[in-house]
Amino acid sequence: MSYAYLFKYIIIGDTGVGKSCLLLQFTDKRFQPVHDLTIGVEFGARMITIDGKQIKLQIWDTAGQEAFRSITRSYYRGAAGALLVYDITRRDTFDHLTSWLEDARQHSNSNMVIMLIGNKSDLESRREVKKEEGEAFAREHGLVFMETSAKTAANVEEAFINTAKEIYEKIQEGVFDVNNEANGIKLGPQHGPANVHPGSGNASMSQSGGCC
Amino acid sequence: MFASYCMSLASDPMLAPAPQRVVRKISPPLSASAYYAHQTTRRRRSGEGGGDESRVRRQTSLVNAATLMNAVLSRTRSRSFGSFFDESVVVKGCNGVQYIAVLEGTPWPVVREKNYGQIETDAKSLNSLSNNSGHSRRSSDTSQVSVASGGSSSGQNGPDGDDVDRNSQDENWSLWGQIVNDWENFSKKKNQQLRELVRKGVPHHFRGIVWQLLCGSHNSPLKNKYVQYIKAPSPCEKVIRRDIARTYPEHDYFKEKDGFGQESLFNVMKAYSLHDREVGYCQGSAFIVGLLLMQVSE
Repeated sequence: MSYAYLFKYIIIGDTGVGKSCLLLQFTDKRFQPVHDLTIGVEFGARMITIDGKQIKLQIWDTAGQEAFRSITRSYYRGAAGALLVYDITRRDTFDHLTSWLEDARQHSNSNMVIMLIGNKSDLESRREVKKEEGEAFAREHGLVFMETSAKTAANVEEAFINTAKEIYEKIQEGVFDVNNEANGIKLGPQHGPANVHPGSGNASMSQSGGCC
Repeated sequence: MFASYCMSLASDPMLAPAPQRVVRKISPPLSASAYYAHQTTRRRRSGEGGGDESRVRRQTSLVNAATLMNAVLSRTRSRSFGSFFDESVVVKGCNGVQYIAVLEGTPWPVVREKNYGQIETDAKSLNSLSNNSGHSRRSSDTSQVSVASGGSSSGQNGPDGDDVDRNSQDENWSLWGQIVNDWENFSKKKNQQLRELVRKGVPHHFRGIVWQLLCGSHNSPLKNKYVQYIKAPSPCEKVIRRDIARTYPEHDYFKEKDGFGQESLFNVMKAYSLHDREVGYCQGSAFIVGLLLMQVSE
């Protein structure tokens, strides 16, 4: 399917907070209680519509363990949006947010939209981090905040789509230069300035599209 | 080690942009008891005496995933692990030759590195070997389909094909039985023949033993240390625990919560984290250990 824009996202956060589950819920609309842990990086993609325009989200899902930080860092570059995820039932994942944010700010372009996500909101009884704390952290660092549940799918769509909306607004405002792929935004095949084979099948375009 | 592997992954433009992982489907291992059962019925059928059985048993008791893991990891430390994630693992042979074992539901043909064409042919030609043996853990047939061999001819052979298979299998078995019993001599004197045999594929039931003999972990002094490691607490325990259920979550051997498989996996991971404190625990290494545990006991 053709798209007007392609946005590159990255999902970051401590190990086991539910990054891969969020992605699975968003792309496949399903939840897998146990699935393979992420080694290095995986990715998924989905089309959404904003303002009547088809937008393809290409989402890079990273491994959370410290040992993989060096890989994760190389994926910040060229991302238009980042979902910074913590687990509301584990305080330590919230405490590590600052270091994740530092990493993100340091290695990404300055306009990257960062969405803070408190995941596992369905586990209210085991909550260790108050919603207000998440809100306060987001306010302090200029992030958008949302609590989600990859299990019940609560707010998952919204988290990804709101981030896209924000990026879209920034494009309209002219903050992002859409012709510079380092910003994590790519024009769709029919809009692309360097489109060599117009209309020759989108498959080849979307395959070559946006990979770092 | 993993960190450096990862870095090499990230900097490699061929590897970095395509991280979509294929869910590996590997057949459940054959337990040692099933192996003996098979051995015994074979003997009864062919009228062999049980004289060398104790020797075989002695060899099998050397089976130890932990030391094997250490041998595999420490020897491949400086090498790129890319091939592991291509469904294969590098096993270094006793004579310094590298072999790749392909992780498939069917026997793992062990061949010289990068010889991928060969691997596929071998996998197909050897399919029959694991076909009619008594797999004790083979509870679900759905997990049998392997990626590369694509569930080829196995199970579809006619009665004639089965007979031929059984004969060649029996030959293969007795040959490997001899090799394992007389490893020292054989590996020294008939190294070339051994190499060729290994390249054709070690039969499923000998694989665990032969791997250890090949990398020399069968008489490793680390075996004693393992006992200590098991008892000692490790700072990585919590993180390891968190990932145990996320390692081969659909594999029969590992899927049961706090089951035998998960417990062995945890023990080996913890022992490794104590043995190699610099690395401690790295996500993903449990997949290597899990893979070894499918072939050899803890």
